[in-house]
Amino acid sequence: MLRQYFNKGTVHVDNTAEGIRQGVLHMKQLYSSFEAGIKELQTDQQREWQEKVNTLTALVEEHLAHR
Amino acid sequence: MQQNRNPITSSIPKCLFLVWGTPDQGPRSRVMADKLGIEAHFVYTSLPRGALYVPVKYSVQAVRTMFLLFRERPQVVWVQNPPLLAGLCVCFYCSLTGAGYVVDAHSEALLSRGWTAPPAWIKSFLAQRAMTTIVTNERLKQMVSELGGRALIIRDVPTTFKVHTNYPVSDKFQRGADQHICCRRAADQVLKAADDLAGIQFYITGKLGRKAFWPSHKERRPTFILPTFCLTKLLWFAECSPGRHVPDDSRSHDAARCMRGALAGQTDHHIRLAHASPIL
Repeated sequence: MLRQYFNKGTVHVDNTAEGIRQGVLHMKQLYSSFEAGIKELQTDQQREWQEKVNTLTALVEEHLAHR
Repeated sequence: MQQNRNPITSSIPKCLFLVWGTPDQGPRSRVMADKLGIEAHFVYTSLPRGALYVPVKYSVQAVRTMFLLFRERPQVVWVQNPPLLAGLCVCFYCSLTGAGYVVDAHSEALLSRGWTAPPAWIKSFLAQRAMTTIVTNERLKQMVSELGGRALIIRDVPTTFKVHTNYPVSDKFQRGADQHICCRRAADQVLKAADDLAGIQFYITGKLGRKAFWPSHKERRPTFILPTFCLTKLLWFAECSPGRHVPDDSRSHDAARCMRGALAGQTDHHIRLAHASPIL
């Protein structure tokens, strides 16, 4: 689930010191690409949030219309 | 009551977001309410935690909630679950007034043993009468569906945080680890990894763990220098007593903003995303 959600700008590592160490070094090496990725993920999230809010708004309006 | 200021929800005239607890006990709901432009109301008592006090606390909160709802007369109520009883109070209000409600179900409301103890028919009753139940993933959505309700997945609420403090940033590669979301073993592994990463500065944010939390690094626990701990390449800061969340996560956000990356556990990802730091 986490891998699916954090699909950009993220290094997924094993929960070991070596895994974390390798992940940090990998991120340091390709930092610009990860930085761009996380910004993209942020934009995707914002878009998803807007869609959810629209859905919520429609639900509430529908309820109010049928009162 | 505050009118909605978010243009997206401006068509909903009177809304109220209800949380049974202090503001630090409902950070997700607080952020969601803010993003939706809905005023959040926190109903709580000063009684201590513990099962012994629950009947009194809940009774007081139920009475306060009913006063609040009938005073404000919202047409739509967002209610944080847990606890279930908050939702039942809202459901009662809605059945009398014709208002509707949306349940903001935190994962623990559907998964934690304590919060799932009430009989299924009560949960079904609440879920079926809600306009929708907001959940964080597919599994929880399925659980709500099985209760006969409809659910909407909102995995995260994108937000930005005000920065109160700037943490020192060197030309070193900054890494941050939020230790309060890490288990003891994970924290230990982070510290071991830090040992092998010369030239990379680590910040560890979040609540200060219990003594037992740092068994193999006890000798390295630094001297307390307000508000930060500083030890060679590790900078720490303690925010509150063990077992409690920080009333305001501002320090975590401040540190996250300064960092070039974040090391995250399984939750609280909004902190990192809010500052657009790559995540490890």
